Parts: sequence; C-alpha cells; structure tokens
Amino acid sequence: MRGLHPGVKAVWSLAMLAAVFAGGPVVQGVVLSVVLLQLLLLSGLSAVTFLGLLAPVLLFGLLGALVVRFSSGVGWWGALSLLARVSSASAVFAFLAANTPFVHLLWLMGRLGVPDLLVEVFELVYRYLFLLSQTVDAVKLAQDSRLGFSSFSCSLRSLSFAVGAMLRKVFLSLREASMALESRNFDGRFAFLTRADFRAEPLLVAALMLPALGCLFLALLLPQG
Amino acid sequence: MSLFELKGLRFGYSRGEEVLKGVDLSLRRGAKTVVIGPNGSGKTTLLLHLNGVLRPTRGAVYFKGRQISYDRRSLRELRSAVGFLFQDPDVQVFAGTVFEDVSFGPMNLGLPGPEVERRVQRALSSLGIEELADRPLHFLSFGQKKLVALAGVLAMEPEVLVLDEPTANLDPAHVEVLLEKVEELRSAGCEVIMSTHDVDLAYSWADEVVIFCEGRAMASGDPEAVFSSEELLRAGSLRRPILLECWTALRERGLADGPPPRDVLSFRRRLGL
Repeated sequence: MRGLHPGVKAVWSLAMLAAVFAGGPVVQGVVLSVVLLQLLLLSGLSAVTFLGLLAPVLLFGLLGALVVRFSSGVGWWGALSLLARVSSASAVFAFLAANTPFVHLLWLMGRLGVPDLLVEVFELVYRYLFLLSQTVDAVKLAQDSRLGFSSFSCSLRSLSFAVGAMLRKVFLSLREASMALESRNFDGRFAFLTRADFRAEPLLVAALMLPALGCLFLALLLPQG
Repeated sequence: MSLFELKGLRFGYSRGEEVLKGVDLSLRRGAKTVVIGPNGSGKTTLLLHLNGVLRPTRGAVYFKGRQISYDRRSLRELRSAVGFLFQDPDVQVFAGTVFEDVSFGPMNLGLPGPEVERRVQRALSSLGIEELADRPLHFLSFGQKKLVALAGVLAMEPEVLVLDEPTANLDPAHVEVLLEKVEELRSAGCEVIMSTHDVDLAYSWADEVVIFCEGRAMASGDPEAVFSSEELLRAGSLRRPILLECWTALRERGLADGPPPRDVLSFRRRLGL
C-alpha cells in the first residue's frame, strides 16, 4: 500500500471525504467501517495501531459532541451525527497518513502545481521537526539525569534553561546547515531528484477505489438531513 | 605545485575572537594529509576555507596554484572540485529520503536527470547502502547517516575530498567501511585531506601530518618525525601513537630495529608474530 501511486490514494481520500460530507450518519458509519476493513485487509497495519493514531482525535470529537449536546439545542442524534462525521473524516486522513510516505505527498503536491517554495518549506519542516525533537529529548534527558525535574520549582527552572539552550542550538544549527548547503553548491533552490517508481496494481487499485465509489454512491442515495 | 597553499590566513567568526591566527601551510598533491590537533584548535574552520565556505578575513588560499576568488562562478567551480564531509551528518543531510539527499549536489551542478540518477546509484552502491535509497533520513543510524552524507559528496565526483573528523562517533565497522572507501577513492586519483584528533589513525593512514593548535599550523611532515617529537606532542596536547610507542620501547630493549611499522599487520610481521 505504501508503494501505491499517491495519486490513487489522493483520489480515494477525496471520494471518501465527499461521501462523509454529503451523507448522513449512516453513510459516515459505513465510511468508518470501510476504512477499517481496507486498513486491515490492504495495508497490513494493525487496528490497534490505527486506533491509537485516531484516539486523540476521537477524544476531542467526543468532547466536542458532548459540548454541542449540552450547550445548544442540538439533540442526541445531532451530537452523534457530529461525532460520526469527525470520526469518519479523521479515519480517512489517518488512513492516508499511515499509508503514504510524506515524501510521496510532497511529490504529489509538486505535480499538482503547489508552488516550489511551499513544497520546499514542507520538506525542510518535515526533516527538521525530527531533529528538533531529538534535541529536545537530549536536553530533557541531560537535565533529568541531574535531578532537573525533581521538584516543581526545579522543573520550571529546567524548562527555562531548556528553552534558552534550544534557541542557542537552533542558531548554531542554522549556521552549520547553511554552510553544509553552500558546500554542495546550493544556489537558493532546493533541487532534488525524486524517485517516482510507484506501483498501481489493478487489483489493489480496484480494492481501494470500488468501496470508495460505493460509499460515494450511498451518500447520494442517503444524503445528509 | 601544491594542491592547496594557505598564506597568512586569518579568520574570526562574527563578534568572536580570531580562530585562525595567521596560517601558512602547503598541502602536497598526492599525499594523504591529516590535520591533527585538540578540540577547538580551529581544524574545522581551517578545512572550511578549502571549499570556499568560509572566506578569510586576511590572507589567501590557493588551489592548484590559483588564488581562490569568492565570486559566484569561481565558488561553484571550487565546490564542484572540492567535496566536504561534515563531522555531524545531521548538519549535512536534510532532504526527505536518502535518494533525494544524495541527488542534491549533482542537481546543483545542473546535470540532466538521468546523469544525476546514475551518479546517485553509483555513490550509494559504492558504499553498499543502495537498499537505504528510499528510507527517510530520520530512520537511519548515525553511521548510516554518515555514509549517506559521504555518498552525497561522492555523487558530485570531486577531485579533492575534505573529511572533517570522519571517524568521530562511528563504530569500528563503519570506520572500516569509510576508510576502505577513502582508499578506493585515493586509488582512483582523488586527493584526500582529513582532520582528526585520533593519533593512531593519523599515524597509520597519513603520508603527511599537520599539527594544528590554537589557530596555527605548528608543524607538518612525515608522521614518524612529527609524532616522535615530544615537544610537538606536548604543545599540541597529543600523545604518541600506540604502535610507535610500542616499537620505540621494543627498540630500546633491543627487541626490534629499523623504522617503526605504520600498521598492526606490519608490526606483527616485523616481529615475526
């Protein structure tokens, strides 16, 4: 599934999202079930991992639905409808995220005419987020190893030191990264050669797209409201 | 003619103290050169001048007899000829996947797509990491990232390779792969200049050693001569390489004679072990 052409997965997502927004709670429930089934049968990702990925969104969806139920005149059916929509739409996005390497999405964005500058920014953010997270972990570990979080006041002081340290590190890293780019003849544009050897096996495409088209058809039969 | 000649080189980072304090140095063609010195001595700053990434505040750098100019075109030519491997691969590699990152340098050279692809494949397979091509960089180990960074430089097919502490933080297996590759490149005619603070590596690998300390080149010459000088070792905060130390001790007791061996294999052979 990860090697499948990202264009196919993008079309699948659009069809599923259209079904979610055009259809009522029944359709949204069907979409959620279809996504889970396709996940189990086609992607090899375990349902537990997938639900773990979805859990925070579902929690927010549930809280939102309860707030809407008790703070406005919407009944239980309206709140359930909201929850169904949030859950199914999030499941579609989570399926796409779990089965599509980010670089494939960037490639697709480039092909769809998204400006180079934006794609380059996304690419850099994607890479440097991991570096930032590694650095944060390292700083936190170093502080923890010297009892930096042993009390509330220690934790606050450690946090302020960590923020200062991170700022210094960001400036140093920026200087080093810019030198490294220059050493490889950087001329202001991030030029890469991206491999686009994606697969598009007819059976896999059919197994992904036919249920999606089915959901879309169902949404037209059972529209919202 | 020297490969590089540095005359009266001075450099300081903005609002900081001077890092290079008048370096006069000549790096021979065809010699495996190691710049050795303690941490913070200015080795990296010195090497970054060879690729034109840093511009001296005073003095000049000559590459193959011609003074380096810092206009766009000259720098492009220089950086195509002189590849630079940074000590920390996380500084150097930044693209989404290994394949993309290695293609960055050749793409900047303005090469056509098929040629870039050929170079990337060749660089990856020469380091035995072609299976990593589609992996995102953050899933790689430090050693793998180091090899990817090297592949990114090799794909530009430079005449000179400048390695900044290439073995730092690497496990022995990756050190071996890296040094083997460096030897292959040398055999293919690529010049190699390396900085390190590993005296054993410098002694066994180099033809010429430059002792660098407090922003100055204190001495340069044959590894045996340089590492035999107690005065230089003390001034450079270095120690004598283990092989040289052992050989000297054996020679003093009459158990060995002749010039000291440069690697463990010759050491054992010379002692009949």
